[in-house]
Amino acid sequence: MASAGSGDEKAAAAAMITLISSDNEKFEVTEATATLSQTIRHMIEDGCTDGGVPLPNVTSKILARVIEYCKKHATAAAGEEGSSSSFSDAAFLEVDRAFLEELEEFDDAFLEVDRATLFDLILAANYLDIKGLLNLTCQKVADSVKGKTPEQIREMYNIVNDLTPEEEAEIRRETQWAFE
Amino acid sequence: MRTKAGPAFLRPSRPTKRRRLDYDEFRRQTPPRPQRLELKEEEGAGQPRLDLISRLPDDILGEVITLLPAAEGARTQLLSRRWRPLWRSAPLNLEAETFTAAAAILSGHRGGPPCRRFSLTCPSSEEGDTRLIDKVLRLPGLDGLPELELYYTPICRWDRPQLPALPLLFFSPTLRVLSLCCRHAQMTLKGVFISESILHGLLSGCPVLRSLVLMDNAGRRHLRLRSPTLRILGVSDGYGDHGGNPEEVVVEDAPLLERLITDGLMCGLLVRVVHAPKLKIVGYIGDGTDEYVHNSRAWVFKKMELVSLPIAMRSVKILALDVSPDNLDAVIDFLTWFPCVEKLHVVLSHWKLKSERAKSAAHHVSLECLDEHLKMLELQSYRGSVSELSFIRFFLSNARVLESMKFLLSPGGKWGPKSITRERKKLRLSTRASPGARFCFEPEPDHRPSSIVPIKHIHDFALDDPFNVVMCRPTR
Repeated sequence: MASAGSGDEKAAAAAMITLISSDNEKFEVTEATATLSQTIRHMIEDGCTDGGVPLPNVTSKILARVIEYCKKHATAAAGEEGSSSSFSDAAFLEVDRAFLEELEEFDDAFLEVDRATLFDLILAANYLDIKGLLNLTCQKVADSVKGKTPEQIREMYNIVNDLTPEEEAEIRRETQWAFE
Repeated sequence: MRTKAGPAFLRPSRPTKRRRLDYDEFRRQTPPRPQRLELKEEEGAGQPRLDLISRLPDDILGEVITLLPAAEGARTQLLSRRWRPLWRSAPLNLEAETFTAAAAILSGHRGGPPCRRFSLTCPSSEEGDTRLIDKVLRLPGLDGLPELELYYTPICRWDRPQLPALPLLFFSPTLRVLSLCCRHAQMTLKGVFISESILHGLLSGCPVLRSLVLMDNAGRRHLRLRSPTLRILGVSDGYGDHGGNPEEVVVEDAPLLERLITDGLMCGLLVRVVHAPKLKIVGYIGDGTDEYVHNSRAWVFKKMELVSLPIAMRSVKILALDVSPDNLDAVIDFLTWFPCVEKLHVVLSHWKLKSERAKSAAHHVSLECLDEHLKMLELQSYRGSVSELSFIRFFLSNARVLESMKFLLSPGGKWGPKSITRERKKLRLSTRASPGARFCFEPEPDHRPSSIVPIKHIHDFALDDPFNVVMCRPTR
């Protein structure tokens, strides 16, 4: 009996992964949530997640946000599978719609962060290899740049222009069509 | 002089040289470690500015640049020395409206990685110049192109540009998504002229093509499709004037084809499916504008009675129809041919009605589809007219496993809570073969013609159901 009990515990524990942020905070997440990160998925596959996964590049503040994203999108993925394969929910159309809208709203709200946080999220998404989050955040940066002049972009992102006037002229000459 | 243009905190006491060192340091870090410590020292110089995009490694800046249209992407070269080479090393997202512009952009991007997506709108003035098309499509930047869209806008109906075959074949080994479309300026116009040999050559030369849309393309010959990789096929006959010679698309052999998406095929284009054993999603199929005749015009399954086809048709789970509300016979035929449909979308095309007189609702049939499979029915352009009554009663009294029925209310009607209650009573929703069925009335999103699936949605394999109108919201 006792051994069976510990076996169950082990199975339950195996489904949870501990992530450790750079400032040593521990986050317990389900495997479904964690495996949205390809990096962590590979670690799980290689069986090296015992004792937690240290993420020295990600602070607790950012890791909490990343986990929030993964949780939402992991449930979303699970829900999607359920509704399309079984048609079990009589009102699945409404569910579909509600769910899609909710996810979109979630993503929009999720991106309502200052730029420093946005860049931290991009770096974390890149490091953890979470494609959806990386696309989402890169799109946000691209959207913020769209329709702006180089001067405006520099001002916005504190980019120092270290090009000489000659180099600038050269770029304009090489890609003249882009400046017409 | 230059540094003075920079933000306040970088300007003063700090020598430029020192700053550049920090900056190079940023570049070396992949993945970069948190920059907070280094940035903190800046806070003294006034407002803390922590939003340095320079913290991002080059490959991520490249990801951002590749999302920008080509001209905006190219302008990022002017930002700084670090940004200058990035555009050239990021895959190009090329949208051009003239061949000359496309050629200029491609030559400007020389030496970079191949184009990620090439969308070319051929203006009518240049369309005849196939030599120019040839030249553009042969530019080195298009090697290994995965996505190509060609839009034609002919001004004269007789002026059908010949699609250049060779240049397409040139990069077809890597092509995954291909759209050939004609943008109509007028109803009588037609698009690209495709000869069978070209399409055949194109497909046999595209070992990874998974999604193909042929829209409003002219060509009086029959097109035969054979593709071991194609999973999505979109066909539209547009508003063609086919001069009594129906064109024909024959899917001869498409072992992986899962989706066949059309726009109702109401102008006489014939689609034959000979071998597509994995076909899962089909529509919109129309019941024809003239007389509805089985096995002809609208939709033909070659040798329908033979053994191989019932298998193909049993694979279809999602079906979309565009029919007149009084043409229940056509719907019954379709459900007989596709006995395992679980989701059925129906556009009620009132303009096809011959009379508003209601037919009797006496249909009681036993169809495998209605007895065992049909779970969801969505009715688009519902008006609450008499002619729809027997149509809906038919499903109510025969669909035994129906779980939901959705009415998308035509934007033309005046809908309110009272009129919907009236509809419910009139339809006698409480009397139904499937006690568990739920009903839902919703205003129809009116941003697209009902039986046309946007090209983007046709190509999008991630969409479970491309006919789901709810999904078709305008993009953000």
